Order: sequence, then C-alpha cells, then structure tokens
Amino acid sequence: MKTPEEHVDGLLAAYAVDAVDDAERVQVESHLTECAACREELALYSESVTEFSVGLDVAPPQHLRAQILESVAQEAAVVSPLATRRRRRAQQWLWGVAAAGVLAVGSWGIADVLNGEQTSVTDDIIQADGTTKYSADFEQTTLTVYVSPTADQAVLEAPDMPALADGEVYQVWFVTPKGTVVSAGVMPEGEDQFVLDGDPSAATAVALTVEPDPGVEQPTTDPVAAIPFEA
Amino acid sequence: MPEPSTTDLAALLQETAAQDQDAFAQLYDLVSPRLHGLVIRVLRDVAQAEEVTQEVFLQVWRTAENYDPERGSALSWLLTLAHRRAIDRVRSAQSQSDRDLAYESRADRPPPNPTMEEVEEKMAAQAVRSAVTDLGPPHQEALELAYFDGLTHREVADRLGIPLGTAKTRIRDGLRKLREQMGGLG
Ligand SMILES: [Zn+2]
Repeated sequence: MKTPEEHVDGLLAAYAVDAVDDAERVQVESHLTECAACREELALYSESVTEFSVGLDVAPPQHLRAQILESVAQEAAVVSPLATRRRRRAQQWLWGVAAAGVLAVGSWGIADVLNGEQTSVTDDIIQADGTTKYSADFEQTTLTVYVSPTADQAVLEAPDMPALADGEVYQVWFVTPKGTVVSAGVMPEGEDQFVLDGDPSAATAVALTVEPDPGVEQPTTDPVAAIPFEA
Repeated sequence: MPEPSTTDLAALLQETAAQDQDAFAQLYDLVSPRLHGLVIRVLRDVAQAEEVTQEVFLQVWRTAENYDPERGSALSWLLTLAHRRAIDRVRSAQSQSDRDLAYESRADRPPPNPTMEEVEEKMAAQAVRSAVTDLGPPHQEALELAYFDGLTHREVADRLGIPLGTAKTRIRDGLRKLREQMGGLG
C-alpha cells in the first residue's frame, strides 16, 4: 500500500507551492476530493508555506482599498438580493458579469412590454445597421441580446428554453455596474424573441432569473444565466 | 506588523461569506499588506501587483464561503489565493513574452518598473525570513524557485540540473523541515 506521500506521483508538496502545471493541478485536486490523508498533509504543507511571506509586507496604496471596497459594495447590491436558491454556477456567471462591468452610469426608463407589435419591432432592431449582438450559452441553447444602434432598445433571442414548472416564468434583468438590477420584462411563453423593457444603454449585462408568474419587482433568486455586454 | 490571530481571520472570513462588508474591510486591513507584499515579490512589478491584489480581494469577497477551516488556516487559504493568482499572471506573461521574443527585439519591451527597486529595498530591510533561510541551500533554493519565481517542479529540476524526482523531494522535504522549525518557534 502506498503512503500518502506517494499519492498523485508525490506532487502534493509541489502543489502546495503551485509548482505544478495545469494538468497536474487538476490531477491533485481531484485526488484531494477523495483522500483525507492527503487533505491533512496538504493543510500542514500550506501552513509551512505561509512562512515564505513573513516579512514581505507592503501596504497597498490607499486608493486600492477604496476601489476594492467600492467594487464589493456594488457587487453586494447586485447579488445579495439574489443570493438564495439557485445553482452556484449560475451565481458565478453573475459574479463574472458584475466584475466585467465597464463603468457606465445611467438610470432606467421603464416601459411595459407591448405585446401587440413585437414581431416587427424585434426585426427592426435585429436588422438595423450597427446593431450590436451579445451571446452566451445556456443549457442546450444560445441566448442572444441585440442592442439597437442608438442603444435605446434591445431584443432578447432565447430559443428552446428549458421548460419551467407551472406558475414560473423567466424574468429578464438589466444589470448595471452601479449595482442596480432593473426588470427588463418577463419572457412571453412560446416566443423566441422579444423586445426588452427599458433602455439598455447603461447596462453591462442582461441576466435571467426564474420567478413566480407574473414576475417580480426585484429578483428573488440567483440568475440562471447572464449575457455580459462585451465583445 | 503583528501576525493577525488565526481565529480573527477565520471569523472575518465567515462574516465576509455572509456578505458583511465591514468584516471584509477589516479583513482587508489585516491581511492586505501581507498578500500585496507576496504578490509584489512574485510579480516584481508594482502596477501589475496592484491589479492582481485587487483581483484577489474580489475573489475573496466572492468565494469566502469556500474557505473550509478543516483544510487549513484562514491565512494560508488567503495566501494560497493570492499566490496562485500571481503565479498564473507570471506564467501567462511568460508564455506571452516567449511568443513576443520570437519576433520582437528586447529593446522594444517596456522598461523595468522604477518603484520596484524601492519596494525591494524595503523588503530586504524588513526581511526576517529566518525559518526559510535556515533551511539551507538545496531546499531553500528549490522552494524559492518554485514559490517566488513560479517555476514548476519540472522547471526547477531543469534549472538546477537535477532529476525530476530530486526536485520533488527537495520541495517536499523543504516544507517538512520548515514545519519542524516553525513548530519549534510556536
Ligand atoms: Zn492521497
């Protein structure tokens, strides 16, 4: 029987100082999930490793502190109302979205969804010269947001969305880097494309949550998908 | 700076995981010099280090709930995040500059960062890394190439002209020796 130090090709100590390549890192981490002896051993190595940074202290500049606390305050405002029941993976997407935020500031004009004329309006936006398109994969499908050249309207294309339970709807949100989340409407059932409520110009992303029909004012769950507005 | 007590950090991390921004700010004040110093030491570039330190703390905010006290101290968890992020940056810059060098002369590359020199002087002045320096050359050398220069165990072996197995053993035995010495201190 192998002793723990022979597990994963004796890479555990190298892993503790990040002296492994990506493939080895994966190998070690997968072993750690199933080997308590190596987890204990790693904890000891990691404690030793802390010794390397003793005496290296350099206080970061004050502006960095302000910047970091500001980013965290923004993220908290976006995410904490959402933080409860949905999958962690989805949550990380939103983290990424919020982090990607190129700063843009603005406020939202909110309009109701106009169901009647949707088809022609969606085509107008999608086909306009200079329309910007952003996509993200979601489950088996691809979500695409089209933002009009004047950036005052957007269309969400979401074909083949996974079916929801009775009484649940997909609700769409504009996410801004200032930490606000504003409803962009509820996805009409059976429609692949629809015009989003409100003005996308200040948003850095669109996020989707699953909400009780007929939608809510502020999200009650973590997003299941997010489409960042980045090339 | 005095070592922040382990229990303080663990408690602050837990509160951070519960989205407590004040706890996060306290945590930042306690550990940012240590983390930032490490990141600077690895990256040897103050401007890049500031970016990485910022990324690290945002990651701390986002993933504090992943900290598991059973798997080590809060300080070591935080240092691991910072170190890994710094190393990833060094390695991607390395592969970038390897590519650049194929068609670009060294003269075209940016000049060294002027403030780095000051920082290094400061670090040298306050260095009290007794336990590490007490390791003796073979172990200290292998560990520092790995930990500070971001070399993999394979690269450590190449650099030192020793077999791969020897590099791994030096890293392992070095960490064990360090543990014994720290045990003696604590
Ligand atoms: Zn094992």
